[in-house]
This record gives sequence, C-alpha cells and structure tokens, in this order.
Amino acid sequence: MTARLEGRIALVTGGTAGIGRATAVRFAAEGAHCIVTGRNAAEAARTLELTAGAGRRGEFLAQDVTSEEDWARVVTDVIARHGRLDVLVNNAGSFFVKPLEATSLEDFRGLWTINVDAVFLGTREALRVMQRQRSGAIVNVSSLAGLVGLDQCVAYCASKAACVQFTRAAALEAAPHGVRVNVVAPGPVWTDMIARQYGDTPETRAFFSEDQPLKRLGVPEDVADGILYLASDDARYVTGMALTIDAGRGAD
Amino acid sequence: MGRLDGKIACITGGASGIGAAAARRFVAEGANVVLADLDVARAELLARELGARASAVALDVSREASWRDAMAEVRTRHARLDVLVNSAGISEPGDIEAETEAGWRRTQAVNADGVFFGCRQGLALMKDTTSAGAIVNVSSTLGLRPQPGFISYDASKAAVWALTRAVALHCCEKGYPIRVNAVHPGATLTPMMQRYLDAAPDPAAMMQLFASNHPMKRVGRAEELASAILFLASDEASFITGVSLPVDGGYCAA
Repeated sequence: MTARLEGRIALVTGGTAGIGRATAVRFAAEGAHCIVTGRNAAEAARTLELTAGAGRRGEFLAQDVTSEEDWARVVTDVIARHGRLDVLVNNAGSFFVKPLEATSLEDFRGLWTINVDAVFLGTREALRVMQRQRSGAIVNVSSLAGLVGLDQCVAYCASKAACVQFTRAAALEAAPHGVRVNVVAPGPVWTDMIARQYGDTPETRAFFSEDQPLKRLGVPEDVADGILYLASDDARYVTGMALTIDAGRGAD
Repeated sequence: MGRLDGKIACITGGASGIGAAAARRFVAEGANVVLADLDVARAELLARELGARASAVALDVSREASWRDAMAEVRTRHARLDVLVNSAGISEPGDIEAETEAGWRRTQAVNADGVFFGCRQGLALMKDTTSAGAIVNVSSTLGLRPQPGFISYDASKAAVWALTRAVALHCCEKGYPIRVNAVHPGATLTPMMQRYLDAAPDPAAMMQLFASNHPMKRVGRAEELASAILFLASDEASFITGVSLPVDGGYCAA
C-alpha cells in the first residue's frame, strides 16, 4: 500500500501539543512533510522528534495564528521552500470554562480571536495558494460544542459553531477551484488543554470515559485519524462536512 | 498492511454499485468479504474475480428469514462477523401525489426494513463474535435533505439515519463492541443512476443536472463512497459512532 499522504506538504497549526501533535505524527507516518507551527519552540522540538520517528522529520515555524502578518509570512515561506501547500490543518485553539455572567468581553474576544479569526486568516491565505494549484485540502478543528451546547462554555460554543459554519461557506467557494474544506468536531477527547481546565483527577478522567456512550477515554490520535481521512484523497468527494468524533455523544 | 486485515465483512447489495466498490476496496485492504445480494449469480461472478477472500450469499434484505439464513451461512464460513455494510437499496421517482401505495411499500421494504433487519440480525451474530465491530449503513443526502420528487426514497433514507443513531446508542448501552455509522452519498454514478440516465430523453442534460446540484459540479464515484465506508469500518474510526458522513461534493453544506 502506498502511504496516504506521500510527498504532500502539510501545515499544522498548534502542532506543539494534543490533537495538532498527534496529527503531525500521523501525517508523517503517511509520508507527508509537516510544517508544524505554534509559539512553544521546546514543545515543537518534541513534536519533530516524534514526526522524525514516524518517518518524516518536518519543520517548525514560529507563528501567532491570530496575526495576519504571521500568516502571510508563514505561507510565503512554505511556498518559497516547497513550491506548494497541499494540506492545512487549522488546529490551534483555546478553551475555558466560565459561567456567562463571569465571562468578560475580553475573555470572549480572546477566545474568538484564536478559535475563529485564526481559522479565517489561515483558510484565506491557504486558499489563495491552493486555488492556483487547483488542489488542496483544508481541515478545521471545531468541537462537538460547536454543534450542541456545553454547560458554562458560551464563548467556546459560539466560537466553535462559527468554525463549523465558516467551513461550510468556505467549502462552497473553494469547490469550483478543486479545493476541499472540512471540519472535525471532537467530543470528549482528553488533551492537555482539557486537563488544564477541568483538572486531571480520577473523577474528570472517569467523566471523559465511563460517562460517554462508548465508555473509553478519547485520545488525540482518535481525532488525527479523522483528520487524515479528510485530508487524504480518500475524501476527494467530501467537502463542507463536519465529522463528529465523539464516542457517540452527538447521537444521544 | 491493509486497513481491514483479518476482518470478516458482509456487504449487502455487494454485486453492484456502491456495494461492489466497497467489496473491491475491502478485499484490497485485507478483509474477507461475503457479498450478499438478491442477484446471487452476479455476486458470485464478482466474488470469483476478487479471489479466495471473497464469496457470495443469496439475500433478500426485505425478509428477516433471509437475513437469518445469510448470517447463519456467514457463521458457518467464518465463525464470526466484524463488519456489516448495508448497501442494498432501490430508488423510484414519485412525489406525494403521484406515489402509489405499492411503490411506497416496495421502497420501505428494501431501504428501511432491509436496514432494520440487517442491523438486528447483523448484531445478533456480531455481538458474541467480534471484538471490534462496525456497521455502516448507506443512507443518502436525501435522508438529510429530502427532494419532493422522491418521497418514498426520502423517507426510507431518513429512516436509515434514525436507525443508525438508535442502534449505535443501543450497542453503547449494552456494551457491545459494535459501532454504527452512516454514509450519505450524493448523486453517485452507479447502475441506480444509470437507469435514470438511460430513461431520460437527454441523458447528457440529466447528467449535467445531477452534477450542477453539487458544489463540486460533478457526481460522485462508487469508489469515493467505498473509501468513506472503509474509514468508518476500520479501527481508525474506533471513537466514532452514531455519525453521519455525507460524501456529496458539498451538497449538504449548502
């Protein structure tokens, strides 16, 4: 069997932890060259050790995904060195749990900037390149919380719903140019981001496993497999769709 | 290494269209495949072409007794079942005023009853014999976005989507190691579509119409459905159950 992303150039934002790291490693194992972006060079170095172990080392570029200038610089740099960009995974995101009444405008805008603005900027920048190539796949990372309500997460739910709707509308514009745009909606998946908010205790881990329909803890690799499917040619007739990866939670 | 190495799969409607494409892909990915079809001669022909890891069995999906026989045959041949793909289906035009009682019942019998019996008899065999099972039901974009000219088909495919979620949750509640998901094809070039094209006064114009309904401005290929079914059937989707996967060139996004 040939590797599913053989020779592809893939950019993964937030590749320094969690779902982004797992995606970069999965992509590398399938033959892709990954450009991992983020703000933490030390964690990025760890990701690159793992991608190298999986088959392709890839590279790190420091990036603030909320900065328009950074997006222009990063994509220009990728094109200068590789001549193309085949896959973009807009994974960088943030999360907090806070009652509506305690949520400040600053909190709300801060989350929106990273969860929505960054997806907008990244998709727009990548689409310019991919339209010229007449090929490319963009995978955004939303959340089940973008499809159903999550208690005490108004800002997160709103931002992730925006990500889903952004994806659908962008897919319609990209389709005539041979570019696909899809989104994954992970449900209860255990990552550092989640652990920081809810606390890494036996109780929270139990909530994230036994209390879910499939009764097992979701891990970043579960999401990486879905992102791989949407990024690969196996999904060449799939666009504008939200793939929930959620232990059955959304069916409930 | 194949993505379905060592899995035992049964595919209904396996002799043609999306079912046949799934059978080809499954065999290529290392699975043993039983092609279940009303047209068993055609299923046998394809099984011979696919080699030693494929075989055929007669199945009328609309009759539960036929399902019992087919699943007993799978048990005899392979002692277990890991993957069931419910792909058998029919499509006939007719809006709410034109559709006949017989037409309505014919469509429900194959598309809705067939998936109901399939999930029931499939899981009866799977629940004690598989450690990582998956059922993939073939619904349709019309199961999510009805088209008035296909009233019976719309309703039958919406039933498939409801069955998918209910059976997925049932398996979770019971602790069965079986995931249940649905794919939703848009207009896909299969013998089912070919019959519409052949019957049209201007087949090229009809093809253009099918294509223009989808943002990607083309119809789907059976192989593109097969790769989605493969993903959901494989252990890569082990955290995915009760979901809908449209393979529709963007149709449902608009």
